[in-house]
Amino acid sequence: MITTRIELADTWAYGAADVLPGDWLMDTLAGAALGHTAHPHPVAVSAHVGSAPRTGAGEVTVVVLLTCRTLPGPHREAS
Amino acid sequence: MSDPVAEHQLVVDGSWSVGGKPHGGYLLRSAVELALDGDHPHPMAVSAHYVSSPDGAPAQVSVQRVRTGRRVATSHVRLSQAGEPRVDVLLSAGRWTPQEQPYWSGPGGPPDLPPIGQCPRVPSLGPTGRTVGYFDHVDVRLDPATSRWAVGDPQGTAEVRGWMRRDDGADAGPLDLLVFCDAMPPVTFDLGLMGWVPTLELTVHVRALPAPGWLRVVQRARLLQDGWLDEECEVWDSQHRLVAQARQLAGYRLD
Repeated sequence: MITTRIELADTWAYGAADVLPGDWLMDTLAGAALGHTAHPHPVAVSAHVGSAPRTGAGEVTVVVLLTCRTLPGPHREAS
Repeated sequence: MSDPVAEHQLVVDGSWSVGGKPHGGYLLRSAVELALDGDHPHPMAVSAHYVSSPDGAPAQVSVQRVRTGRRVATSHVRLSQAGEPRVDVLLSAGRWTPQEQPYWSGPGGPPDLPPIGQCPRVPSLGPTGRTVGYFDHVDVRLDPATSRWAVGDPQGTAEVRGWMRRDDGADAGPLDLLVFCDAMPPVTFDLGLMGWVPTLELTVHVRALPAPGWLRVVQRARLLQDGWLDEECEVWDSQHRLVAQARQLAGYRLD
Protein backbone atom coordinates (compact mmCIF):
# COMPACT_ATOMS: atom_id res chain seq x y z
CA MET A 1 0.00 0.00 0.00
CA ILE A 2 1.38 3.38 -1.05
CA THR A 3 -0.18 6.60 0.21
CA THR A 4 0.67 9.89 -1.46
CA ARG A 5 -0.39 13.41 -0.52
CA ILE A 6 -1.74 15.48 -3.39
CA GLU A 7 -3.19 18.95 -3.86
CA LEU A 8 -6.58 18.96 -5.57
CA ALA A 9 -6.44 22.10 -7.67
CA ASP A 10 -9.34 24.53 -7.78
CA THR A 11 -9.02 25.13 -11.52
CA TRP A 12 -11.28 22.12 -12.07
CA ALA A 13 -13.80 22.97 -9.37
CA TYR A 14 -17.33 24.15 -9.97
CA GLY A 15 -20.01 25.71 -7.81
CA ALA A 16 -19.72 27.73 -4.63
CA ALA A 17 -18.64 24.69 -2.63
CA ASP A 18 -15.55 24.05 -4.78
CA VAL A 19 -16.70 20.57 -5.74
CA LEU A 20 -14.42 18.70 -8.13
CA PRO A 21 -15.81 16.78 -11.13
CA GLY A 22 -15.75 13.03 -10.80
CA ASP A 23 -14.14 12.40 -14.18
CA TRP A 24 -11.18 14.59 -13.31
CA LEU A 25 -10.80 12.77 -10.02
CA MET A 26 -10.93 9.38 -11.78
CA ASP A 27 -8.22 10.57 -14.16
CA THR A 28 -6.09 11.61 -11.20
CA LEU A 29 -6.64 8.36 -9.29
CA ALA A 30 -6.12 6.08 -12.30
CA GLY A 31 -2.96 7.99 -13.19
CA ALA A 32 -1.65 7.49 -9.68
CA ALA A 33 -2.34 3.75 -9.89
CA LEU A 34 -0.67 3.38 -13.28
CA GLY A 35 2.41 5.05 -11.85
CA HIS A 36 2.89 2.02 -9.62
CA THR A 37 2.56 -0.68 -12.30
CA ALA A 38 4.31 -1.63 -15.51
CA HIS A 39 0.98 -1.41 -17.39
CA PRO A 40 0.57 1.87 -19.27
CA HIS A 41 -3.17 1.89 -20.02
CA PRO A 42 -6.35 1.67 -17.95
CA VAL A 43 -8.53 -1.24 -19.15
CA ALA A 44 -11.45 -1.24 -16.69
CA VAL A 45 -11.99 1.47 -14.10
CA SER A 46 -14.79 1.46 -11.52
CA ALA A 47 -15.50 4.31 -9.14
CA HIS A 48 -18.11 4.82 -6.45
CA VAL A 49 -18.25 8.38 -5.17
CA GLY A 50 -18.65 8.21 -1.41
CA SER A 51 -18.99 11.96 -0.89
CA ALA A 52 -18.45 15.13 -2.88
CA PRO A 53 -14.73 15.68 -3.49
CA ARG A 54 -13.54 19.21 -2.77
CA THR A 55 -10.43 21.19 -3.52
CA GLY A 56 -7.49 21.22 -1.18
CA ALA A 57 -5.17 18.66 0.32
CA GLY A 58 -5.97 15.00 -0.31
CA GLU A 59 -4.47 11.56 0.00
CA VAL A 60 -4.32 8.87 -2.66
CA THR A 61 -3.79 5.27 -1.58
CA VAL A 62 -2.73 2.72 -4.18
CA VAL A 63 -2.85 -1.01 -3.55
CA VAL A 64 -1.52 -3.21 -6.35
CA LEU A 65 -3.44 -6.46 -5.91
CA LEU A 66 -1.91 -8.50 -8.72
CA THR A 67 0.40 -8.07 -11.68
CA CYS A 68 0.14 -10.80 -14.29
CA ARG A 69 0.04 -11.61 -17.99
CA THR A 70 -2.31 -14.54 -18.04
CA LEU A 71 -4.87 -12.94 -20.34
CA PRO A 72 -4.30 -11.88 -23.95
CA GLY A 73 -3.74 -8.33 -25.08
CA PRO A 74 -0.95 -5.82 -24.69
CA HIS A 75 -2.66 -3.99 -21.84
CA ARG A 76 -1.70 -6.68 -19.37
CA GLU A 77 1.83 -7.45 -20.43
CA ALA A 78 4.19 -7.54 -17.51
CA SER A 79 7.62 -6.02 -17.74
CA MET B 1 -13.41 8.32 8.13
CA SER B 2 -13.88 4.67 7.12
CA ASP B 3 -15.16 2.07 9.56
CA PRO B 4 -12.89 -0.75 10.72
CA VAL B 5 -12.57 -3.77 8.45
CA ALA B 6 -14.94 -6.66 9.29
CA GLU B 7 -13.57 -10.10 8.47
CA HIS B 8 -15.84 -13.01 7.48
CA GLN B 9 -15.20 -16.64 6.63
CA LEU B 10 -16.91 -18.23 3.65
CA VAL B 11 -16.84 -21.67 2.04
CA VAL B 12 -17.01 -21.32 -1.73
CA ASP B 13 -19.42 -23.95 -3.02
CA GLY B 14 -17.67 -25.89 -5.77
CA SER B 15 -20.98 -26.98 -7.30
CA TRP B 16 -21.24 -23.49 -8.85
CA SER B 17 -18.00 -23.98 -10.76
CA VAL B 18 -17.22 -23.67 -14.45
CA GLY B 19 -14.55 -26.21 -15.29
CA GLY B 20 -13.53 -26.26 -11.63
CA LYS B 21 -13.53 -22.47 -11.17
CA PRO B 22 -16.39 -20.89 -9.18
CA HIS B 23 -18.85 -18.74 -11.10
CA GLY B 24 -18.13 -15.01 -10.89
CA GLY B 25 -21.72 -13.97 -10.24
CA TYR B 26 -22.02 -16.48 -7.42
CA LEU B 27 -18.84 -15.14 -5.83
CA LEU B 28 -20.15 -11.61 -6.19
CA ARG B 29 -23.45 -12.42 -4.51
CA SER B 30 -21.69 -14.27 -1.68
CA ALA B 31 -19.36 -11.36 -0.98
CA VAL B 32 -21.90 -8.55 -1.37
CA GLU B 33 -24.42 -10.22 0.94
CA LEU B 34 -21.96 -9.79 3.81
CA ALA B 35 -21.79 -6.01 3.28
CA LEU B 36 -25.52 -5.26 3.47
CA ASP B 37 -27.32 -4.10 6.61
CA GLY B 38 -30.87 -3.42 7.77
CA ASP B 39 -30.84 0.21 6.65
CA HIS B 40 -29.21 -0.60 3.30
CA PRO B 41 -30.50 -4.10 2.48
CA HIS B 42 -30.29 -4.02 -1.32
CA PRO B 43 -27.40 -3.73 -3.76
CA MET B 44 -27.71 -0.70 -6.04
CA ALA B 45 -24.39 -0.44 -7.88
CA VAL B 46 -21.81 -3.21 -7.71
CA SER B 47 -18.41 -3.10 -9.41
CA ALA B 48 -16.21 -6.17 -9.26
CA HIS B 49 -12.69 -6.73 -10.51
CA TYR B 50 -11.73 -10.39 -10.74
CA VAL B 51 -8.11 -10.31 -9.69
CA SER B 52 -7.15 -13.97 -9.73
CA SER B 53 -8.73 -17.32 -10.38
CA PRO B 54 -10.72 -18.63 -7.40
CA ASP B 55 -11.14 -22.21 -6.17
CA GLY B 56 -13.96 -24.10 -4.51
CA ALA B 57 -12.37 -23.75 -1.09
CA PRO B 58 -12.58 -21.65 2.07
CA ALA B 59 -12.37 -17.92 1.52
CA GLN B 60 -12.03 -14.80 3.58
CA VAL B 61 -14.21 -11.78 2.92
CA SER B 62 -13.20 -8.37 4.26
CA VAL B 63 -15.79 -5.63 4.37
CA GLN B 64 -14.92 -2.01 4.97
CA ARG B 65 -17.70 0.53 5.11
CA VAL B 66 -16.38 3.60 3.35
CA ARG B 67 -19.35 5.83 4.08
CA THR B 68 -22.83 5.42 5.51
CA GLY B 69 -25.31 7.95 4.18
CA ARG B 70 -29.04 8.23 4.68
CA ARG B 71 -29.90 6.68 1.31
CA VAL B 72 -26.68 4.99 0.24
CA ALA B 73 -23.93 3.07 2.02
CA THR B 74 -20.66 2.51 0.17
CA SER B 75 -18.42 -0.43 1.03
CA HIS B 76 -15.20 -1.97 -0.18
CA VAL B 77 -15.41 -5.77 -0.18
CA ARG B 78 -12.57 -8.15 -0.92
CA LEU B 79 -12.80 -11.93 -1.27
CA SER B 80 -9.45 -13.69 -0.75
CA GLN B 81 -8.26 -17.26 -0.57
CA ALA B 82 -5.07 -18.23 1.27
CA GLY B 83 -4.10 -14.59 1.41
CA GLU B 84 -4.50 -14.05 -2.35
CA PRO B 85 -7.13 -11.50 -3.46
CA ARG B 86 -9.67 -13.09 -5.80
CA VAL B 87 -12.41 -10.49 -6.21
CA ASP B 88 -12.32 -6.81 -5.28
CA VAL B 89 -15.72 -5.15 -5.08
CA LEU B 90 -17.08 -1.64 -4.63
CA LEU B 91 -20.67 -1.69 -3.43
CA SER B 92 -23.24 1.06 -3.15
CA ALA B 93 -26.25 -0.28 -1.25
CA GLY B 94 -29.61 1.21 -0.37
CA ARG B 95 -33.29 0.28 -0.29
CA TRP B 96 -35.56 -0.27 -3.28
CA THR B 97 -39.29 0.34 -3.08
CA PRO B 98 -41.35 -2.75 -3.97
CA GLN B 99 -43.38 -2.46 -7.19
CA GLU B 100 -42.04 1.02 -7.96
CA GLN B 101 -43.04 2.14 -11.45
CA PRO B 102 -40.84 4.13 -13.87
CA TYR B 103 -41.11 7.90 -13.93
CA TRP B 104 -39.70 7.65 -17.47
CA SER B 105 -38.08 4.94 -19.52
CA GLY B 106 -36.40 4.96 -22.90
CA PRO B 107 -37.58 3.24 -26.05
CA GLY B 108 -37.47 -0.53 -26.25
CA GLY B 109 -38.55 -3.05 -23.72
CA PRO B 110 -37.98 -6.62 -22.68
CA PRO B 111 -36.76 -9.02 -25.33
CA ASP B 112 -39.35 -10.87 -27.36
CA LEU B 113 -39.11 -14.53 -26.45
CA PRO B 114 -40.94 -17.68 -27.48
CA PRO B 115 -43.01 -19.34 -24.74
CA ILE B 116 -40.89 -20.99 -22.08
CA GLY B 117 -41.98 -24.42 -23.25
CA GLN B 118 -40.33 -23.78 -26.61
CA CYS B 119 -37.00 -22.75 -25.04
CA PRO B 120 -34.77 -25.67 -23.99
CA ARG B 121 -33.02 -25.56 -20.65
CA VAL B 122 -29.24 -25.10 -20.77
CA PRO B 123 -27.64 -28.28 -19.39
CA SER B 124 -24.72 -28.18 -17.00
CA LEU B 125 -22.66 -30.22 -19.43
CA GLY B 126 -22.25 -27.88 -22.38
CA PRO B 127 -21.15 -28.25 -26.01
CA THR B 128 -17.54 -27.60 -25.07
CA GLY B 129 -17.52 -30.69 -22.85
CA ARG B 130 -16.88 -28.48 -19.85
CA THR B 131 -19.11 -28.83 -16.78
CA VAL B 132 -20.87 -25.56 -16.02
CA GLY B 133 -22.17 -26.21 -12.53
CA TYR B 134 -24.12 -23.01 -12.08
CA PHE B 135 -26.67 -24.22 -14.62
CA ASP B 136 -27.73 -26.68 -11.91
CA HIS B 137 -28.52 -23.64 -9.72
CA VAL B 138 -29.86 -21.24 -12.33
CA ASP B 139 -32.59 -22.42 -14.68
CA VAL B 140 -31.77 -20.83 -18.06
CA ARG B 141 -34.08 -21.42 -21.03
CA LEU B 142 -32.55 -20.03 -24.22
CA ASP B 143 -34.45 -18.70 -27.20
CA PRO B 144 -33.59 -21.30 -29.88
CA ALA B 145 -33.03 -18.48 -32.39
CA THR B 146 -30.05 -17.28 -30.34
CA SER B 147 -28.59 -20.66 -29.44
CA ARG B 148 -27.97 -22.17 -32.87
CA TRP B 149 -24.31 -22.43 -31.84
CA ALA B 150 -25.34 -25.34 -29.61
CA VAL B 151 -26.02 -27.39 -32.76
CA GLY B 152 -22.92 -26.16 -34.58
CA ASP B 153 -24.63 -23.31 -36.43
CA PRO B 154 -23.55 -19.96 -34.90
CA GLN B 155 -25.37 -16.99 -36.40
CA GLY B 156 -22.73 -14.30 -35.88
CA THR B 157 -24.97 -11.86 -34.01
CA ALA B 158 -23.27 -12.11 -30.60
CA GLU B 159 -26.59 -11.95 -28.76
CA VAL B 160 -28.30 -14.47 -26.50
CA ARG B 161 -31.80 -14.18 -25.07
CA GLY B 162 -33.79 -16.32 -22.75
CA TRP B 163 -35.84 -16.95 -19.65
CA MET B 164 -34.21 -17.30 -16.25
CA ARG B 165 -35.11 -18.18 -12.69
CA ARG B 166 -33.63 -19.93 -9.65
CA ASP B 167 -33.45 -23.69 -9.99
CA ASP B 168 -35.26 -24.15 -6.68
CA GLY B 169 -38.25 -22.27 -8.08
CA ALA B 170 -38.04 -19.48 -5.51
CA ASP B 171 -38.69 -15.98 -6.76
CA ALA B 172 -35.54 -14.00 -7.42
CA GLY B 173 -34.37 -11.36 -4.98
CA PRO B 174 -32.01 -8.48 -5.67
CA LEU B 175 -28.93 -10.53 -4.77
CA ASP B 176 -29.93 -13.17 -7.31
CA LEU B 177 -29.73 -10.49 -9.99
CA LEU B 178 -25.96 -10.33 -9.42
CA VAL B 179 -25.82 -13.99 -10.41
CA PHE B 180 -28.26 -13.69 -13.31
CA CYS B 181 -26.30 -10.82 -14.88
CA ASP B 182 -23.39 -13.24 -15.30
CA ALA B 183 -25.34 -16.42 -16.04
CA MET B 184 -25.91 -16.34 -19.81
CA PRO B 185 -23.61 -18.46 -21.98
CA PRO B 186 -20.89 -16.29 -23.53
CA VAL B 187 -22.07 -14.40 -26.59
CA THR B 188 -18.82 -15.43 -28.25
CA PHE B 189 -20.39 -18.87 -28.79
CA ASP B 190 -22.61 -17.26 -31.42
CA LEU B 191 -19.44 -16.12 -33.19
CA GLY B 192 -18.07 -19.65 -33.26
CA LEU B 193 -15.60 -19.00 -30.45
CA MET B 194 -16.23 -21.81 -27.97
CA GLY B 195 -13.39 -21.08 -25.57
CA TRP B 196 -13.39 -19.82 -22.01
CA VAL B 197 -14.35 -16.15 -21.50
CA PRO B 198 -12.92 -15.09 -18.14
CA THR B 199 -14.39 -11.91 -16.67
CA LEU B 200 -11.97 -9.14 -15.83
CA GLU B 201 -14.51 -6.62 -14.55
CA LEU B 202 -18.28 -6.74 -13.99
CA THR B 203 -20.56 -3.86 -13.04
CA VAL B 204 -24.18 -4.54 -12.11
CA HIS B 205 -26.81 -1.86 -11.55
CA VAL B 206 -29.81 -3.25 -9.72
CA ARG B 207 -32.72 -1.00 -10.71
CA ALA B 208 -35.70 -2.52 -8.90
CA LEU B 209 -36.89 -5.43 -6.82
CA PRO B 210 -38.00 -8.10 -9.29
CA ALA B 211 -41.64 -9.12 -9.34
CA PRO B 212 -42.36 -12.84 -8.83
CA GLY B 213 -42.03 -15.09 -11.85
CA TRP B 214 -39.66 -15.80 -14.69
CA LEU B 215 -37.18 -13.14 -15.75
CA ARG B 216 -36.31 -12.23 -19.34
CA VAL B 217 -32.62 -11.76 -19.98
CA VAL B 218 -30.75 -10.49 -23.02
CA GLN B 219 -27.00 -10.28 -23.36
CA ARG B 220 -25.05 -8.86 -26.29
CA ALA B 221 -21.59 -7.73 -27.25
CA ARG B 222 -20.63 -4.51 -28.97
CA LEU B 223 -16.97 -5.13 -29.73
CA LEU B 224 -14.41 -7.90 -29.74
CA GLN B 225 -10.95 -6.48 -30.19
CA ASP B 226 -7.41 -7.13 -29.10
CA GLY B 227 -8.35 -10.09 -26.92
CA TRP B 228 -11.12 -8.35 -24.98
CA LEU B 229 -14.86 -8.12 -25.38
CA ASP B 230 -17.70 -6.38 -23.63
CA GLU B 231 -20.96 -8.05 -22.71
CA GLU B 232 -24.02 -5.95 -21.91
CA CYS B 233 -26.88 -7.61 -20.05
CA GLU B 234 -30.44 -6.56 -19.24
CA VAL B 235 -32.81 -8.36 -16.89
CA TRP B 236 -36.57 -7.69 -17.09
CA ASP B 237 -39.16 -9.00 -14.67
CA SER B 238 -42.61 -10.51 -15.25
CA GLN B 239 -44.16 -7.02 -15.01
CA HIS B 240 -41.98 -5.85 -17.94
CA ARG B 241 -39.82 -3.73 -15.62
CA LEU B 242 -36.09 -3.38 -16.15
CA VAL B 243 -34.65 -4.72 -12.88
CA ALA B 244 -30.93 -5.00 -13.62
CA GLN B 245 -28.36 -3.79 -16.12
CA ALA B 246 -24.80 -5.04 -16.33
CA ARG B 247 -21.68 -4.68 -18.37
CA GLN B 248 -18.55 -6.74 -18.19
CA LEU B 249 -15.14 -6.79 -19.83
CA ALA B 250 -13.86 -10.27 -20.50
CA GLY B 251 -11.06 -11.97 -22.36
CA TYR B 252 -11.31 -14.25 -25.37
CA ARG B 253 -8.93 -16.27 -27.50
CA LEU B 254 -9.14 -16.96 -31.21
CA ASP B 255 -7.36 -20.32 -30.98
